[in-house]
Amino acid sequence: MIYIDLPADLNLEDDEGRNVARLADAVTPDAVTRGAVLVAGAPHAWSWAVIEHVESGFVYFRQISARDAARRGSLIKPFPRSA
Amino acid sequence: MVRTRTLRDEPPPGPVELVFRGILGDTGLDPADLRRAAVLNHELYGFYGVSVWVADLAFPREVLESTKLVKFERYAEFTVAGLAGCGLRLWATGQRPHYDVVGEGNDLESLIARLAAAPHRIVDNPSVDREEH
Repeated sequence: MIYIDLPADLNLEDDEGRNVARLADAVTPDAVTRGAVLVAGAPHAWSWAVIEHVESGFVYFRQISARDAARRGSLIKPFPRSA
Repeated sequence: MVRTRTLRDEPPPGPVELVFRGILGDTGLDPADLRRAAVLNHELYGFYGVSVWVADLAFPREVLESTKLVKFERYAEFTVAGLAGCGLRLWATGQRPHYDVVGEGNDLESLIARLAAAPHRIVDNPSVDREEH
């Protein structure tokens, strides 16, 4: 089962073609900062993503490939305490 | 703070054009998912809308399956005429081929009920990208 960091609807794009989600929906909102790499989406529709902008409670991100995500940092991280 | 949503100045899609929306869950077009999407859109832009992709010559089904829908195992397929027949309209929002399905009077429950009941079929995406975690 995939572990989603940032629940999001990958159908939604803003005027710049970025996906958007609520910061409050993130499993660990403090980790959602510009440049962070995480998994965004839903269990049956998810993507690696890089955070481009966080403003007024919303997160703007772009989908990236697993290869790109690996290039940006480790894909392995500890489970959150709540898991 | 509600943001301004850009409406593209272009002719509306024709009645036979296909309209796609990626399925988030495993039960088909889930009204709860549609409601969450519409509410988030309202928080962002001040109107209830559900994001979809409209196919045309520049963005045929095969292209959308491997780009905008590539992360979705399945998607719902509507037609412009089918949505219109349920009292729904398409707003050309964001960048092509993104649209928002909207209803009359910016009424959330009406939008969700009409969209969930609109004629559609669920399609397996042959181009889905199942990246390993």
